[in-house]
This record gives sequence, structure tokens and C-alpha cells, in this order.
Amino acid sequence: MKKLILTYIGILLAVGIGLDLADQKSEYKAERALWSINEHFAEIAKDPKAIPDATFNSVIKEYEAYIKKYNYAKISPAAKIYLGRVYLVKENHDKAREVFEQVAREYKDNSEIAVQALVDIGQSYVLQKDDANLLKIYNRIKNEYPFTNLGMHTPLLIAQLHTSHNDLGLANKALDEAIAYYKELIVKYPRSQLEIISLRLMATCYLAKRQWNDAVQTFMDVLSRYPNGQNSQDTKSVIRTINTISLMQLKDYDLPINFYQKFIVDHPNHPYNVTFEKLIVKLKELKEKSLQQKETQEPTSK
Amino acid sequence: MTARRDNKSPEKNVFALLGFAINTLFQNKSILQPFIFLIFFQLLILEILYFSVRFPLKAFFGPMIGKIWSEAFLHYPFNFILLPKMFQYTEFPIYIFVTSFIIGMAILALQKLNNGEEVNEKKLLKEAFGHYVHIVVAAFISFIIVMALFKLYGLVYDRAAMIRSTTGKFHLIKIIFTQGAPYFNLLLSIIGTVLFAYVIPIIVLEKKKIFSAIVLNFKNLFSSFWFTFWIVFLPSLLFVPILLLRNTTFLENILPELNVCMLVATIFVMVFIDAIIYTALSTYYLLKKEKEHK
Repeated sequence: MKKLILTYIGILLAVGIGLDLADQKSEYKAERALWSINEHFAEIAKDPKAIPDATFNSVIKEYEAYIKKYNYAKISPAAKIYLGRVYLVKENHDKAREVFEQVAREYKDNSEIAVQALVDIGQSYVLQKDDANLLKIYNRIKNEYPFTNLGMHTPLLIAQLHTSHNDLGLANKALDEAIAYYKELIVKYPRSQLEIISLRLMATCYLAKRQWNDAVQTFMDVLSRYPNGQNSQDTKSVIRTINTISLMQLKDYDLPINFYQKFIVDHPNHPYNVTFEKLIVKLKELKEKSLQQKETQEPTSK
Repeated sequence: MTARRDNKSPEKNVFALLGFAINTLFQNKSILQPFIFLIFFQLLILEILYFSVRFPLKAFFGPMIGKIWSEAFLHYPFNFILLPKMFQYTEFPIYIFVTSFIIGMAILALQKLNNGEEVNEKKLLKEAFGHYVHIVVAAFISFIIVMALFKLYGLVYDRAAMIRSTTGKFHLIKIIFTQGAPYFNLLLSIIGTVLFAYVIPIIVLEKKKIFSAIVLNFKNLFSSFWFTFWIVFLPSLLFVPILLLRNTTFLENILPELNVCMLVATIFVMVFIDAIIYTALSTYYLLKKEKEHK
């Protein structure tokens, strides 16, 4: 019996060791090692002011050793970014930016990593309340990586930055520049995902400028020109915005009703037609109620 | 190995029977060996699943995992979220095709020891294999019944989850049925096991085919339902600490590998429970038969 149990244990160990040895230079081992260091970092990041420098330095050394050992791994750039973030948490912003800049340079052909590094540089300026340099980073992302998700949003983010500082003049100027920028992209990249994103962001700019009619028309443009170009969540969001702006700001029930009716005629087999038919009925009911309320109010005012 | 014929004889007392079954199990390697093989087999499956996200097994499992679940589960530590689920899916065919056969082998070994015969592992394997199809069908039917009971509980769970009260008796009902789900499922699997408790012993001991075995099973069950229930229920309580540990999520946050330790513990406990239950049930069945012949 003991011999049998030992044989079974031997087989299990042999299989385990064999499979582990077969997996050298492994992404999995790199991920596991990084997770462990990240757990240490998460602990010190909870209350960095209470952590002695020696602890920070030990986490920094762990990341540096990791980068040296697992330089082959796809996850290695993430370790470099985390290293920069340790310096951020330690409030050594210059050193943090140095690390992020190196990452942005080293991985300039990998937009996902490079943009993340630039975002972290931006974060360091936010922490230092240095808006001038933060704006430079936004512009850098827009110029070097214009078609990434963040690159596309940067013109809007610049306007939001000015708004947050109550610089309404600068904010409006930035919004106008953003609208012009998106219009340029729409002309340059027709019938593409870039055009859809540009249209949506342009509509968001119109909303920020309180140009309700332009906003609604742009959102309607997105839906009618690209009936299947967006995912379900985005489509629902566009429909909600059209309804809200039409009713609350423009006080125009016919605008969305006419749009949905035209959409149904133009796209007879579209999966959203059932939703639009229900919306038309609901909007007509609301329009009736609104008219009745107006009629009951008017005689008293006369 | 014969039962004591006194007031504390195993066929009259559940605790005596279970104690007798545990003794029999550990004193007779021919009964224990099949279960040890079962533990080894399940640990091997678990080990393969653990390495399924790593080279070279990733070449085979990776596309499957990515398609059925998500690419995220191919990375550390998310693979440990998927591992228990994958292992649970493999447990279904393991139970139907392997565990049930192992139980059949162990019951045959018990019979031979009871008759004072020599136990030869190869002959035991051959004899048990002769009933393999019936054993597998019995295990499959029992599995389907237990799954049906789980589904029924699922309906109760869904209804309880819809309760919006935050205080009072309805809130209490919601808490009991939602947070008590693992324990209710354990109870339902115990009931499922009880309903088909004697099928495999009858197939192997009486050399009956599946449907005659099911009929005889219910005859035996109705004559001693509560005794059978306690034989199955009491050892199954050993699984409760596993359920309590599983619901303690902070362990996974300390070290994701603890998931694997939980699964290993689950394998040992489940095989041990099955071993005691079927040794006890078969002993009880054999003792009853001896008594009837006398």
C-alpha cells in the first residue's frame, strides 16, 4: 500500500515538475511575479505618508529586479509603468516622469503602452497642479497618438480642464477648436469607425456649449448614417440623449418622432425598429399630455 | 469480517455501522486501494487543469478557454477563478464513468472479504467491469436526478432573490435561501444519493441489471429509509467545513493558489465521504441479507 501511494505521489510530482520545467521563459511566471510585487505596492499605496523610505526603496528594487529578469515578457512594460507609479506615490514626481518618459520612448510604436505612460506623466502634473505642462501632455497625446481612445478624447479633455478652472473663455475656444478638429477627421476618414467616434465627440462638444439643436442633429446623424456601426450600449446612450435633449431643452416632441419614423422607413429590418415604434407611441402620449396641460394653463393666464 | 450480533450491532445503530465501516476501510487495503486510485486520478486531472494555461498545454486548452469563457482567464491570477469551475465540469463525467466503477469495485472487495474469499485485484477489476454498463447507467440516472433537484432549488433561489424587503420575515427567508444555497445543495445531493443508495451495491452484489436493481433499491429503501438517510447524511457533514472555507473569500485575496489547496482538500474529503457511505451501505445490505437467510 505504501509503495502504491508513493508511486502515485511520484507520478503527480513528475507531471508537475515536468510541466513546470517545460514552461521556461513563461508569461505566466512573469504575471505571477508581477502580481506579488503589485500586492506589496498596493499595501504601501494605502497610506504612503506612514511608510518609511526604506520600504519604498525595497519595492523599487523589486520592480527593477523584475524588469531585469522578465524583460522578455509581454507584461514587462506594465512593470516599468508601476515602477514610475511608485515614485509618484513617493511624491518624487521628477523621477516618476523620467521613468514614464523612458517607457513612452521605448514603446513609441505600441500606442497602448506609450499613451498610458503619457497619461501617468499627466497625472504627475495634476498632482503638482501644473496645468500648463498638463496641457502640453494632452497636446502631445493628440499629436503623437491621435487615433487612440484617449487621443480622440483629448480635445474635449482640454476644454474640460479649462472649465474646471472656470476659464469659460478658454473653454469655449477649446470646444470650438475641438469641433473643428472632429469635422476635419469626419471629412478625412469617411465611412469609418473614426468618423463615428468623431461625430459622437463633436455632439458632446455641442452639448458642452449648450448648442442643443446641433447636438441632437449630430446624434441623429450618427444613428441614421451608421445604424449598425455602434455597440448596443452606445446606441442606447445616443437614443436616450436625443430624447432627453429634445424634450427637456428643445421642448420639441416632433423632432424625435419624425426622426424615428424616418429611420423605420429607411431601415425596415433594423432590430431597433420595435424600440423606436414604442418610443413614438410614448412620445406622442407625452406630447398630448403636454398640449392638454398648456390648454388648461392658457385660459387662466387670459 | 463479521458483524457483532448484539444490541450495538452495526445493522441496528448508525454510529456503530459508520464506525465499523471506517475500521473496515482502513484495515482492508483491497477496499481502500480503489479509493486511493480515485484520489490520485482526480488530483492528476486537477494538475492538468492547473497547467492548462501554461505552455505546452496552453496550445490545446487556450483556444477552448478563450472561446467558452474569456482570454482573461488565461492569465494569472484570473485562471484561479476559472479553475474550480473547470474542475467541477470534469467531476461530472469522472463521477459517472470512474467514481461509480471504483465504488462497485470496493463493494465487490467487501463482499469477498465478508465471504472469507481471497481478493485478487485483477479478478476484482474484471468482475466489476462485467457490470460496468449498468453501473454507469445507474450513476447517470442518479446524476440527472440530483441536477434536477438543483434546478428546482435554482427556481426557489431566483424567487428568493427577488424579495425586496430589508427587514422582517421575508428578508430572513431571502437570507436563508440565498446565502444558504451551498448547504441546501449539499442536502439535495444527500437526498439524491439516498434515493439511489442501494442501486450500485445491488448491481454488483446481486448481479442484477439496472432497472431490476432500481426496483430492488426502492424496496430496500422504503423498509429502512431513515436509517439509510442517516448513513448518508452523517459522513456528508464532513463537507460542511469545506463549504464554510469556500465562502471565506479573503483567503483568495491573500494568495490565489489557495484555491488549488481548497480543491485538493475537496477531493480528499469527497472520496473519503463516498468510501465511508458505500462501505457502510454495503455492509448494512450484506448484514440484512444474512439475517433474511437465517
